[in-house]
Amino acid sequence: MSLPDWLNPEKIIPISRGSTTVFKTGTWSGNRPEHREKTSPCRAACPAGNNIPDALFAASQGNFDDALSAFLEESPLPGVCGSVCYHPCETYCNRDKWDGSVHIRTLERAAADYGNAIPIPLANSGERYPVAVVGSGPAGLSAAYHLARMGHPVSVIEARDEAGGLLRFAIPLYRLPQGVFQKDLKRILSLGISINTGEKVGTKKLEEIRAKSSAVFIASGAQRSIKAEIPGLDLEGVLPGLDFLQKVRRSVLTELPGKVVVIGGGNVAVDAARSARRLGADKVEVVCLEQRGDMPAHEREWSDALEEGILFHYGWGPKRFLGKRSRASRVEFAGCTSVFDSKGRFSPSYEEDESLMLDADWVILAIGQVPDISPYRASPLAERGFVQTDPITLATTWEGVFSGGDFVTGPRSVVEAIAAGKRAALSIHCYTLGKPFSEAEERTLLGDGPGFSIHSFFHPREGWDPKSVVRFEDIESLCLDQEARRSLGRLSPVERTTGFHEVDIPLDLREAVQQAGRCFFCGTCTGCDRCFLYCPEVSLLPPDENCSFYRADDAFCKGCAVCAAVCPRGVMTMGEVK
Amino acid sequence: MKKFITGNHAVAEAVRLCRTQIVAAYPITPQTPIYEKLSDWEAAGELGGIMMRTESEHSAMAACLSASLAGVRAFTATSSQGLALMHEMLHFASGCRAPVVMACVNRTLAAPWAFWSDQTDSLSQRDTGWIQIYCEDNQEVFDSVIQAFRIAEGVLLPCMVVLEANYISHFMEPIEVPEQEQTDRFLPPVKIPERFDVDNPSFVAPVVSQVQFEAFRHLSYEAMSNALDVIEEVDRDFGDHFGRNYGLVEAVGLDGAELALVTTATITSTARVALAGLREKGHRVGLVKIRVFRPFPTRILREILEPVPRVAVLERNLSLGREGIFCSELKAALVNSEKPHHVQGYLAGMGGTNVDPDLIERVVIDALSRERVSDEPIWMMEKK
Repeated sequence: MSLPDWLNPEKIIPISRGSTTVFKTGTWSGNRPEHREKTSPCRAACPAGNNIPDALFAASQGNFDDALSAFLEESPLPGVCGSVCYHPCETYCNRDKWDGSVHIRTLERAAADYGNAIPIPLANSGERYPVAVVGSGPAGLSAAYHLARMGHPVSVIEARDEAGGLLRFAIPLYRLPQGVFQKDLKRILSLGISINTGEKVGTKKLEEIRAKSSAVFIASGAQRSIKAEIPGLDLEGVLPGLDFLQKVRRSVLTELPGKVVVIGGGNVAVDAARSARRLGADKVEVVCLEQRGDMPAHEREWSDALEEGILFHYGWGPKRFLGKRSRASRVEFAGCTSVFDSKGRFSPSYEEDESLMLDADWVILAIGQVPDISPYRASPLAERGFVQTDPITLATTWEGVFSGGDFVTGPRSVVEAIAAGKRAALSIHCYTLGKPFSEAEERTLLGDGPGFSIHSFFHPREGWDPKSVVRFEDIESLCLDQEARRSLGRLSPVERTTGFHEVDIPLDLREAVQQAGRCFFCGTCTGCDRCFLYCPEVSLLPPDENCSFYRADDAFCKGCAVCAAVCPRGVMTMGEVK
Repeated sequence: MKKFITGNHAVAEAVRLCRTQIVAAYPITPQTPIYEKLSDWEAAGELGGIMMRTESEHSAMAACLSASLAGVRAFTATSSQGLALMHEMLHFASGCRAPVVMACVNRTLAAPWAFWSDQTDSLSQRDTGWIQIYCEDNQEVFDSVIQAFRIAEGVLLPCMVVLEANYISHFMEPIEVPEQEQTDRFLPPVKIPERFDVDNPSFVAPVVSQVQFEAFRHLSYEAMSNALDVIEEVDRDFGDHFGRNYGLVEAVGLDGAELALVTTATITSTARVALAGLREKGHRVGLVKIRVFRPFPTRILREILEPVPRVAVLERNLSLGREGIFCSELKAALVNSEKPHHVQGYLAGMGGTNVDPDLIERVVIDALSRERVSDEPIWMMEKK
């Protein structure tokens, strides 16, 4: 006799011999997590747009080849930037709000030191559009590098006998060891870029180059030292700042006996003072118009100089140079009451009654540098007395001629020159193809810009929103350890001033791995699996052969947002069912 | 064999004779002697099954229903606050169709705190899906526990045998206790579905859809409806085996009655005496005892009360804001009768106060002479 349903053991209660997958809990909510990679604040702050999270993640795994490769996505000079950059990245590092920012600059140097990588090609543009680059400083090298990666034939023209611009002839060796720059340079040239050294370019020459090229990028830097109208300027022993630094780098000057007075408050002045100290000067004094806090020189450079025994006099302007038998012996200064006028223009005013007299066997005048556009007389470049470019495309008014870096802006930083070179490269690429650069820039702008990612323009990163910058609040801090930023090794002031040894001691391999591990990798998925492991519905699928990122299983994801809450780096983000 | 024992002891005797395999319980007055007696036997090696000490009544029922789902005969006993705490698991046991048997010793629910007889605790569990049998004396309690296992296992629903604090739980009466073999012949070894099969793993009582839930409720409803026939059949069979039975309801002297007095549990015993006296004096009054409350024996009540114009319901419980719960249930059962009845509710014995024959006489006289019935219950409490 068959049992009635109400007594049938198989029918009276629910028994699941399958699994809860019969319940399509995905219908319960319209919310869905999205694997949306974002831009780290360090990267957004980096003028070169360096892919710091990827680089530091590779370094944290001990893979310095991949770390270098990530840096090379956006910049040809990781060794140089890793040594001299003023690192705005570290200022904006989210970890700064936790226990001190990550040593990003030093880790970039470690990547350059310990890694080997071939720059990833961006495009194969063929031989149709040869591009000429005038100047082989950071801007010129950056443009040449990226143009070559895009497959364009690039020839660089350099006035000096060696490539590198200020990297080779201005920045002192204690900040940038020669080998570090040479390693970067060798890698750049390995892309097939030709460099013609000892070739000066002016209006006529440029016309010739234009005729043979699809585009020209001029990046001649700001190399003309400003010479003030000061009595006694032509005395022996009075040297312009950049000339002095170049003489040191060329080993023309190998010692500097006597007393040195450096005039100026910028980085060139401090470089000159510290170089003079290393050349054995008895006394080095820096005199500047500005008060202590207003000096344009970087804080670190100034404090290093103090440690090295250099004296600073703030608020003085040079009045005249006094000499004995046509050689400088003293400098007289007048008290400076203000540097700028009411409209913010450079216009120092003096209190003539106050004066300062310093003995000086050498006077180094480092009161500023400007671009030298005199070779381009009678060309559209010189029409306004300065080089005018479109700030987005870097195009000048001269058809096919682009310009950037210090040659346009006046003296800025190495990384800004690198950024300008990259911008010029993509702009020229678009120009040769007749496509608007603004669209390319818009697609790859990092945060609010102006940095952008040239790499991702050619190799788009799926699921990455470059404009969205990860805030500290987006970081899941419950999983964070305290591991305070520690100060790195440096030579003592005594060790430093016995020669031109590098002041900052590079990280050893073990330390580099450890320091890279402090990175939050903001906005970049590291495959940590937390979203997958914490999903209460087991409905967050990890990457597999079909999909390269984490994604919700639409049938079951309830949109509870646990994955987004536990993501340590602000990648998982709540959105809606698509 | 005759034994002179309390109602609690009678419960324990029945549980042992039924070869109950697991007793999971937590002590609470006035149920504790059941628990103690079974524990004594377990300690002496005379129980057969095992006692499981739980940390609460909630856990006790969770243990019982789980054991039952494993195919085991399970029993528990509780009262009052303990039953209230168990409430959630009562629904679970019923929904899982677990034939657990429980003895509920009626006791007042706090507050105020008290230990006396009051049916509101078990009646509060009306909608949990448990069969409920209300017993008049120790023998009926004993017999009903034995019947309860067969009923519960026959329809796969849990069953509550209800006895009153003190009047049954602690009063000693001589009762007939059968031999084990005789009991075994009436109650075969447990044979209920075994839900936990390690070779065929499953998830019992998982989440269901709306449609599935409704379907399971309907099957439970059918089981409870069919329980009426099963209870009657088990009761008849019990009579064949032991010479005693009780029915769903019991009617006494209804022939030509003007009034039926409806009672439950121990008040019935007193009413039998009081009504016999009243009938001798010429009052046309009969007695109806409601024994089974869930499922409610609607059809049979309507049939036996059909010729009786007046009905008085006397009871020891109260649903605040309405009336005595049996009265409400009876009114609902009679509402579709061909001829309308005058049904008047009376409340007495609340909190365990004594309901003596005089009180019952007053109820009957009032009910017979009343011009109009009141929708409100009439409190028979002593005015002091």
